[in-house]
Amino acid sequence: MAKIQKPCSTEAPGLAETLKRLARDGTQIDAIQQITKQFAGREGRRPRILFSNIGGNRLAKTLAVSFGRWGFDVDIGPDKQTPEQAAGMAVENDVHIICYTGRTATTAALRMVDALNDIRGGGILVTVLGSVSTDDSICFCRTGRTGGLLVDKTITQTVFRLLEQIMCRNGDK
Amino acid sequence: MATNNIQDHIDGVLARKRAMLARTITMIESALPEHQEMAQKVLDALIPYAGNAVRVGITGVPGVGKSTFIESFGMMLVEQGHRVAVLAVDPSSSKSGGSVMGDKTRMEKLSLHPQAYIRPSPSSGTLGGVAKKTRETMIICEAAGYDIILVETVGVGQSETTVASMVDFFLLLMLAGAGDELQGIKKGILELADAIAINKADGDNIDRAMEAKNDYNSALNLLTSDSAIWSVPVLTCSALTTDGLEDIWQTILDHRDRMNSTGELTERRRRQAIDWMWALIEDGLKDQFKTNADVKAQLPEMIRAVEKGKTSPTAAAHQLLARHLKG
Repeated sequence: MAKIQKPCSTEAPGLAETLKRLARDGTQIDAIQQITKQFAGREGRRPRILFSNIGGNRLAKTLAVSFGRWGFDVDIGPDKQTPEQAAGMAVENDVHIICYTGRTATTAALRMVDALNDIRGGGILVTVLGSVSTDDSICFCRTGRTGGLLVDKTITQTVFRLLEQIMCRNGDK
Repeated sequence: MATNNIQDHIDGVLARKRAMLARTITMIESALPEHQEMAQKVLDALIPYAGNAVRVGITGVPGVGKSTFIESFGMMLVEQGHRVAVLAVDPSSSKSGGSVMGDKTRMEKLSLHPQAYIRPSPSSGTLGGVAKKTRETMIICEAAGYDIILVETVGVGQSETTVASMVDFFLLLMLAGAGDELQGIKKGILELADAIAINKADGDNIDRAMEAKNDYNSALNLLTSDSAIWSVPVLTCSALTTDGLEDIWQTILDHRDRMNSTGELTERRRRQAIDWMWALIEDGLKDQFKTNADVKAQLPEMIRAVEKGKTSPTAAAHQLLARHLKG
């Protein structure tokens, strides 16, 4: 089974607040758009992310739309999905990243990693949005190989780190 | 993510492995020349296994209930033992280049069904691009054993024409009671349709749906059909209650039988192959133009000149095209 490192506590300020601030600050958006564009130039397609199990979570919806605005191709799954179903859909749509919304984020992440390994042995970055330690934290972990959870101070940095991770993963091959 | 072995892709698709099917489609959609080259080889190997599926295009204005319709219609078909692939094209933002693809939000049951495969694709700007990728994706899905392909397109702009030119049957979904029905009848789109279905014919809306059906029927009488063997029927259905879905499927099958017996299906597919070739030529020319070194060098200057109003768009286009032809 793939390893997930221990979730770390988060110093992240409210994500909703950060998104609002970011929307006001055009330069940050430009920076992310530049990188997603570069990514598309290198990989032949834009980074693709699946938002799963969003339900009524408005924050997750805002985040999904924001990713679209930053130049990602965003898939939105049915409102309710189990981690295993999310993993299946991620493989079908061939996304780079899954972002799963759920209360039991760490368990969900582990289940997705297992499911992904069953289907095709990893390769998709698993992230969860939910309570790890606070509601507004995002934790990231990599399926397969090494790697651990990332919690960053701002969503921008988090997005940069995400892109960095999927880029170096593709480069590894 | 494309794996590097072409044979892996071919074997994987033929063995109906979903993960490999997904990766092959990604490869087809990729803009990288090396991926395209590989995709071409995979396609060449898979074409002999394709061509037997029923290809249905579904369009309608946003809000008409396309996704819900496909969920109910698709479920009915998989329950009859069919294998259904749904290809949904979503428009990409021309500003950020990104897209938000939410079709599966409304295809809860179908997306989990083992006999269904749903693949939303970003349109990534160019319409010609969509055509090329969707046609090729259709072939891959057919080779993977899907016997019904549903292509969903947003009912805006030119995408209907593109999708209509790659399917056997083009279904136009309409709404009743959404303002002036005749307003919705744009001759160009009506001409493409092989059938019209008034969706959301349930509850209080049934009477209005019937009324709309009559309106469309009389409007259609005024249009001459381009096919001597098929007159476009107007149906009503409800994706919610599944009423009328069986009739739509029967209409598609009748249409197919009729087309088959008169040889028109073969003729249609032959015409579509020619269309496809032209679409590829157009794409190729556009690519060539954009990658031409001379053009590339002059382009920024020209754009500035047009922006500032120093050169007219027509003159700029002429000059750039002349450059391209010289190069």
